[in-house]
Amino acid sequence: MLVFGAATTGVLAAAYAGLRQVGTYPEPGPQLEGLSVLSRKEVAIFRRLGDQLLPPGGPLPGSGGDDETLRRMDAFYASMPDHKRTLSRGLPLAFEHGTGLDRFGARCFTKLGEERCAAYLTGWSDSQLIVKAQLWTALKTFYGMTYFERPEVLASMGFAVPCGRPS
Amino acid sequence: MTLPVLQTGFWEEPAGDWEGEADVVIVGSGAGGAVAATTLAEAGLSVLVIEEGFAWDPNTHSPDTSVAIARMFQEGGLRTALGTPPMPVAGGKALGGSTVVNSAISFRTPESVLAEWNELSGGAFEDTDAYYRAMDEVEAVLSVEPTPDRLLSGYDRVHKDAAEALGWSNYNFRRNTPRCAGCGRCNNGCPVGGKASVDIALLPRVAAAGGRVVTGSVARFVAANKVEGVVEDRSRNIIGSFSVTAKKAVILSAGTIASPRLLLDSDVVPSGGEVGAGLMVHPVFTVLGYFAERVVAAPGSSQGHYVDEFGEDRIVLESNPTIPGAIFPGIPMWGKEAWPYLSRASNFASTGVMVRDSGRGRIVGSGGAGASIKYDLSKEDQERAARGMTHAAQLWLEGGGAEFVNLNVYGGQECRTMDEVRGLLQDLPAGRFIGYSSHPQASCSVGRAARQDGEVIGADGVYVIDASSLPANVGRNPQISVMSVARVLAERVASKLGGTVKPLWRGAGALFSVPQYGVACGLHTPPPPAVDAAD
Ligand SMILES: Cc1cc2nc3c(=O)[nH]c(=O)nc-3n(C[C@H](O)[C@H](O)[C@H](O)COP(=O)(O)OP(=O)(O)OC[C@H]3O[C@@H](n4cnc5c(N)ncnc54)[C@H](O)[C@@H]3O)c2cc1C
Ligand code: SF4
Repeated sequence: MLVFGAATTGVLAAAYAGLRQVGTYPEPGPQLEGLSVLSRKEVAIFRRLGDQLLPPGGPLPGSGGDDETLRRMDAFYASMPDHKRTLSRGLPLAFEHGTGLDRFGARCFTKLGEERCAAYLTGWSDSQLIVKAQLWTALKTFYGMTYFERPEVLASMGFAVPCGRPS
Repeated sequence: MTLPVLQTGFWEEPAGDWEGEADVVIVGSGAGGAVAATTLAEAGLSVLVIEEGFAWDPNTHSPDTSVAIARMFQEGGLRTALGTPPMPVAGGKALGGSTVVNSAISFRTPESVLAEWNELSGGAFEDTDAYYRAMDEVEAVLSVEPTPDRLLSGYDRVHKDAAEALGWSNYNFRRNTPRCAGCGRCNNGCPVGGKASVDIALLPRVAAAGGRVVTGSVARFVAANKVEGVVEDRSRNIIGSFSVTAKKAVILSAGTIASPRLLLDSDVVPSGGEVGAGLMVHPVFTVLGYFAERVVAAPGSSQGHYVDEFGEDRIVLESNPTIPGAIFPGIPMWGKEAWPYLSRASNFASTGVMVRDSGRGRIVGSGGAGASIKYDLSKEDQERAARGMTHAAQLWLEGGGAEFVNLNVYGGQECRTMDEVRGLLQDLPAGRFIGYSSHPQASCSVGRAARQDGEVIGADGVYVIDASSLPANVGRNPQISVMSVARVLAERVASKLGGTVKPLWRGAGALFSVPQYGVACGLHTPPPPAVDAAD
């Protein structure tokens, strides 16, 4: 379950208010035309994060950063009540610009090279700071709600595709 | 193929503005509201039920958890209590309330808990025979039965085997799922109509007794004789407003969070008093066990088994379905390091440590657009959570032979020995526990915030009848207790308003009178009907 504490809520709200328009980012690509919520910046951040957290080429199909996961991420955001959506849009921004607070300097997360990118995320995953730990867990939960809902991913993990009509 | 399991059409889904009038207006159609509405309508009072969620035919339930949560959970599943640690507080939003998305676990109120409630409430349930009679009726209407071994999932089995190996007291849950096909998706809504949620078991009777049930209508203002609000479509666009007049009473059955919130937002009672205070949540802390040699992901009932060895210490260990999307945040690994574990996610089993909390929180009203809930894990509950997680780790490591366990705490690492588990939990600050709640209770307690029939003190003509009404938490999954309390309170209200109370249990009743009830979903075929259609 996704949950943000009071301090974490503050970080997310500030990130969304201050950073959502900072930087230039590539178009998401033709497969992702018509997304209803995510901006090209958010798509770029989620793509990079997803490919780090759930990289392609392993035993599971696709990746955390492929178009299908990003489409599901957009749908997940679209399904949120407005106030939660605004808050949750701070999440990718906190990762993108958190480099400034770390030893990675002013360079954004999506602009880091492979090695520094992995080191940066290890800093999040191993952090004993509660705010960072909450944001890290929330981020993994977002991929839990998207990548791990894909029927082919579930099947490859040995889970029966559940009953119910696909939406 | 259409599979009309709900008795389509007993409710109204308005397309715009609407108005109404009834003796009793009830806000919320969940466990408490459905029992209150059935009791009052069958007692001869005119009843109007207002529900903000929608009716979901089993044929329309989505297998996709994120879709189901967005549709049928309060605040899209993101309702959170702020405090240490912050905690999600789940609740249903559908015709039938949380009973549509719950796991159908059915416990009777323990006698010791009822005695405690009587002490706290000045004897609101001192006629214990009457209380347990109400509970018998509720259980009969919902077809509560023990989960048969054949419906235990792979997770339940490893839970049971591990408990047996340790010699711990353990049982299969009793559940209200007479046509369960064992797909394990109760929290997404039952796709085969196998669960006797109140949209199926009770609400059709309200309409049959002449009542109205209206969905998609969000109450925003309540007073002694009226309820007002907005009408939404299924995409949550506001498409109108409504205003209804209550000739005799308004009953709030909007759940533990929303009922006090409505009273506070409407200035029916002042803030800072008893309404909203006293919130208890049954926090749950998950412990995953990884079984290198055992695939545990065989389908079965959503939750079929529990360990009761630590009941005296207010702790129950409940077998949880392993949901792949929950494993990823539950393990410390990510990237390529996670590959070996994720590809074998079906080797993880999960147990939930449910604590009967002693601490209390508060509902403050509305924060932004969501509910403002304050809840801190008390020192005593924190210590209990740590003890419970230690028991859970022992269950997996020593009882089940798990290779390692993952304790759901912020910054947690996998533990391969009990010493590592104890080391991790020792002096762990409250803020590092990752808990969740789906059992908020006792925020408008009878005897504290309300009179013995649920009428809110200081707000004549306005009643609360739902999980908020409990004088304290149950310590067990509460739906049957909520419905029994609702029945007792609603009988009192019915008599006070001049109605004649009828039995809740009427033989097979309206339950399962639809012939298509319990169809195969493609993967699973439910057993033949256990109850004949009759009335
Ligand atoms: C995921 C989950 C799993 C659970 N599993 C179990 C279990 O296995 N066993 C068990 O015993 N208990 C379980 N529970 C708890 C149990 O379902 C609840 O305790 C019980 O349903 C509470 O009843 P209630 O009437 O207070 O509220 P609900 O059943 O939640 O009903 C409240 C209703 O009021 C509506 N409402 C709220 N605000 C408004 C408004 N402003 N206007 C109109 N309508 C409104 C809501 O949409 C909802 O339908 C579970 C709960 C959840 C969420
Ligand atoms: S078939 Fe059984 S396990 Fe599946 S959703 Fe229905 S009641 Fe729950």
